[in-house]
Formats: sequence, C-alpha cells, structure tokens
Amino acid sequence: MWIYEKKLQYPVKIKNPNARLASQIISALGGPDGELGAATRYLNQRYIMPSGKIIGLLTDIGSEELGHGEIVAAIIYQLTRNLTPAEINAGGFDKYYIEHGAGIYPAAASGEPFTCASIQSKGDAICDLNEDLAAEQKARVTYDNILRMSDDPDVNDVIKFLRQREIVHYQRFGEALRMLTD
Amino acid sequence: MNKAELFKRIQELAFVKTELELFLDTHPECMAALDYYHRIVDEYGIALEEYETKYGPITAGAVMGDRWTWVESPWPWHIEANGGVGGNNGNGANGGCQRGCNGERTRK
Repeated sequence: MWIYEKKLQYPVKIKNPNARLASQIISALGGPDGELGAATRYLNQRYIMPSGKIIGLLTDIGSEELGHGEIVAAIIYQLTRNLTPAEINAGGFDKYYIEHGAGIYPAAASGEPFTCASIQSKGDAICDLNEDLAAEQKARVTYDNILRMSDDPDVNDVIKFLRQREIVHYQRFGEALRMLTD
Repeated sequence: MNKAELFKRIQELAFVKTELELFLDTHPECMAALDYYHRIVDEYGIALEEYETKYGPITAGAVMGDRWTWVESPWPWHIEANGGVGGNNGNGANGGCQRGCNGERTRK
C-alpha cells in the first residue's frame, strides 16, 4: 500500500524551457538506469530477501525512487512548456514530440521505451544486492553526464540532489550486502 | 512562517525523516538515530497539521469541511507548487495549472 503526498521530495522551479535538455533528461526517468527502473527493480526484488532489514531498505528506497521519478517528470514538464515548433526542431525534441507531444513518456534519451530488460530480479539476495549497488552507480554516472551537458542552474540544482541520493543508497545497499556476507 | 516557508519546512523535515528511515533500516539498534527519528516525526506531524489546517491537504485524508479541496491546489510538478509564479512569468501562458491542464501546451 502506498499513500500519495502532494509535494515533491525536492522543489523543481525551472525558469527557462529547453527542448534539448528535456530530450536528454528523459533518460533519468525511463532510461536503462532511470528512476522508474530503480523503483521497479527494488520493489520487486523485496519479496525473497532473507532479512526484515533488507526488505525494509528495498521498500523504503524503492518508494523514494518513485518520488524521484516524479521529480524527473516535473523537470521535463517544466522544460517543455510553451515550446514553438522551431524550438522543438532545434532542440532535437521533434521525434519525441511527434509521438508524445509534451506528455511524459518514460523512455531513454535514445528513444527506446522503458523496458524491464535493463533491470533484474534474480531470486538471490547476494546477486540482487550486487545489482543494486551497480544500479546506483550507473544512475549516478547518468546524472554526472547530464550535469556535463546542462548549464541551467535551476536544472542542475535538482540533478545534484538526485545524484547525491544515489550515493546514499549505494552506501545503504553496501551495508545490506555486508549483513549477508560478513 | 508564511505558506511557502512552512511548505519548505515540511519538505525539509520529510527529507530528514526519509534519510533516517533508510539509515535505521540497516542500523535498527542505533538509539541516537531512533531518538532523532522520533523528534523529527513529531516536528513533521506538527508542521503538516498546521499547513493542512491553514492551506489545504498534502494527503487526501486531510481534506476538511464540505468541499473536496484535494483537487484545488496546484500539483507538485506545477511551478506554482514550488514557489514559482505560474502563467504570466515571461515563459508563456501555459505555466499555470489551470491552462496547463486544459490541453494545448504548445504555441504556434
């Protein structure tokens, strides 16, 4: 069971629309290392874990990732408001726009729709926690790449928050793995 | 505290609460963290109740009175819900939730 809170975990307030940036940042929602994949991965891996602590951690991080998906969607929503056709073309947002308009569609920057093919749930606690550690690092690198491409301080402030959360989750998953292996 | 300040306070307290929950999942025996968690949950509850009484619900269960106020305030991705000015802020007409939700978000 989940209960919705009508607030973002971190505020998103972007002054300037930017089609190019939107076409890149969509990967942080629906790409192979995006937030939707993260939430899906952790919330589905929970069931077979041998410890209440690890189930709790996957539940709580998975829930936080759902909130991060909402933050990324808010970024895309605000970056794509009031775009002209010329701006859509110039920003390389045209292919996305033809299929989805300014709607939020979880996909990679390459255009590939969100797919569970990029996540795993193996039915093995040590295996899954190692996957989770890698997933947090891959998400962190995606945010590093976005920060290299973006010079919008309103966007970067939020991306830096999301990037920092990947590092905290990595730390917690490491502790969970050591509970099983030490 | 005005509405925006109180909302920010709630976001901050909720963040600390989330962070402590993750920490306690792997350190359930840490009494210092648990004491801190109880304190934050109390402060969060007080701030949330003040906000929802004065300004409207953050969870649907906090709707009070004879109007379904859940659907009245801006949604979290709307710029006005984040301390920004919607609509006529130099970024075109569709930043606001009213017009933004009604369809066309792209101008010619």
